[in-house]
Amino acid sequence: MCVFDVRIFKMKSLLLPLLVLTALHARPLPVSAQEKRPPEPSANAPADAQVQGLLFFAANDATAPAQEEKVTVDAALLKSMDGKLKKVFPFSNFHLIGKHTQKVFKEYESWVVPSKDLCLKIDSRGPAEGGGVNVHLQLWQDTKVLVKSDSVIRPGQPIFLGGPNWRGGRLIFVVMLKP
Amino acid sequence: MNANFPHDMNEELMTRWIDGQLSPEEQVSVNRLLAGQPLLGREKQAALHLGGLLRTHLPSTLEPPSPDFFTSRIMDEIRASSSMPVAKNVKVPAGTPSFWSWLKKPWFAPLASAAAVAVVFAALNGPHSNPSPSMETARIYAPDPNVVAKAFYSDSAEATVIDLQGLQPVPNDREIRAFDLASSEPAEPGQPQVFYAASAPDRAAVVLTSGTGQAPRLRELP
Repeated sequence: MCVFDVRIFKMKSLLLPLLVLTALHARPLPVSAQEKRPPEPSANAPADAQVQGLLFFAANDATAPAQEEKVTVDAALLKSMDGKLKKVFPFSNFHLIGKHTQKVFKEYESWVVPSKDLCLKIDSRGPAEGGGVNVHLQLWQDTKVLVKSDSVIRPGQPIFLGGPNWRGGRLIFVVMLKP
Repeated sequence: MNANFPHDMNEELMTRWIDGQLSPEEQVSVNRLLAGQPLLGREKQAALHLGGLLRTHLPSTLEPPSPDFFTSRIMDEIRASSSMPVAKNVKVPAGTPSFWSWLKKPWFAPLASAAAVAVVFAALNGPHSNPSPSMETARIYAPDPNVVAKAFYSDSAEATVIDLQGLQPVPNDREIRAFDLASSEPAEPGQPQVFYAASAPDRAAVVLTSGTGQAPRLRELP
């Protein structure tokens, strides 16, 4: 085989993986996603879900930390979450100290900010098979990302993120689909 | 079909000919060698056309949204693949081509590279066949090497748990500033996003600014 044939052969051998890549990514995109940049943000930006981010202080001390702002949440939800958290984290009290209800947008990053100290960035990856939404999560503490995760948030099945220790207890970030 | 190339030309010269980087003297020399071989001219045009298509349709560089997370997922897939059990004491029937003989086949290199690309991307992007909530866990990556991150599904709590151990504790004298916020509308990257108080939906409470891959900056409004 002469040198020219070898070069063409090498180029064609690169083409095959490229075609495979193209085929794998040749999923139909929504019209808006085919544009070079997302549309201007609007008051009715399409969302894949609505989530609730809850920040708990888990401790064995029954006294809740002093808070400037009173956080209110449905009592049944709080009781249910308390029971779930007790099955995972070895603490006797789970004090709700922050809350943020937020739409998860299709084309924009979404932030769940129940606290200035811990917040969660959510990128939607679309509806999940069997219900819920596929997401890419990033848990931030101040200027540092603590963990990145590809997860599925399913109805009735929250994600617990066990965060840093504080005052003999632990900060726990909960993200769940809002019913 | 590929044209035969004059043996007087080496690969480096041929490459520069295709890329249009010959000196005038070299060009004259090559033109003389190629006289009467129009097929080679068409091959050159085809190669230039292909290069143009690739440059037009593929970005010169492609940065994933979280390069470190992307790399960690590839490494996870490689570890998972390499830990698969290998069959032992398998007798190969006489006459069966050996693995090494396959390597020598001209079609093996492109096929293997295509297969490798397909496997990695299918593993990373393809649909997973375990939709059972109790079976699926989050894929996680902690950038800080001192942090041990573990993900599991708790059947009793019906929750996915991402447990981070080894984090720096929050100082005891620090107050955790928490909010009760309602949903906000999106903002362009780099533009501030305003969050409103859950108790008073017309009261702007917090402004968040972040760029792609940058830490969020939070400012509380009075």
